[in-house]
Amino acid sequence: MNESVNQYLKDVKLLFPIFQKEEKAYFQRIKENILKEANYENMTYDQCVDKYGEPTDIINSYFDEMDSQSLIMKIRKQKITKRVIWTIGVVLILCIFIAFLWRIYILNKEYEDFHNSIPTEYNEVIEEIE
Amino acid sequence: MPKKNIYFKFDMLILQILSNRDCYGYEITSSIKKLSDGVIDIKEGSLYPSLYKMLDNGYISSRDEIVNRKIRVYYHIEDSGKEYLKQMIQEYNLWEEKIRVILDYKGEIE
Repeated sequence: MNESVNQYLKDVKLLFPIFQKEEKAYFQRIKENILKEANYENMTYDQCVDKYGEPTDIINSYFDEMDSQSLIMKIRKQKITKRVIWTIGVVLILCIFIAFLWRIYILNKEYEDFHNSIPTEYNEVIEEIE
Repeated sequence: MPKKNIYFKFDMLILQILSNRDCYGYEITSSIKKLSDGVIDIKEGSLYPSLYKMLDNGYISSRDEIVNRKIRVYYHIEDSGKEYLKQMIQEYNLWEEKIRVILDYKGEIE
């Protein structure tokens, strides 16, 4: 693919504040359209902007077409997803930390048991056999 | 031109152009620009959300044609699209009429 067209599409993709299923599908459609219609092998970045508009214009028009209710739902969904991911991450880190502490405790205990099992005194008993 | 128009959708302009003949993306934007003497300058990228929505709703259909070794996507208005256009024009005319009344307002309400 032409590097300029590639960069243009990358810029469009990066500008999506949310990138869920619908946005992915929309981006895929735009990409196909641009690659299909444009004589992309000779197109510069400026020519892309001139023909399709600034990447921000593409994003603006996408959200202009969306009704506010579904936009609010999307933002809410993303917030919940982020929160769930954070919670899972924190719980996972805590679990790993607790497991690590438990392992240290077990190793320490085994070391102490081993250390205590080493005899420190020898009592020699000499018995006289008649 | 404002980024976001408040009382008409690009759908109306696109469908009006397509009601005359089938066009590809660039033809739609250049026709709008020419007919509005350059005042309404929509880039192709800004058309896509409207076009995809109307394709999904069945108001328009598309077909690929190869012209000069390039694939062009032509859009065609369907009967439901013509009906949708009629509704939008009616709504637009009503808004325009009422906005005109407000702009002509001289401080007296009957």
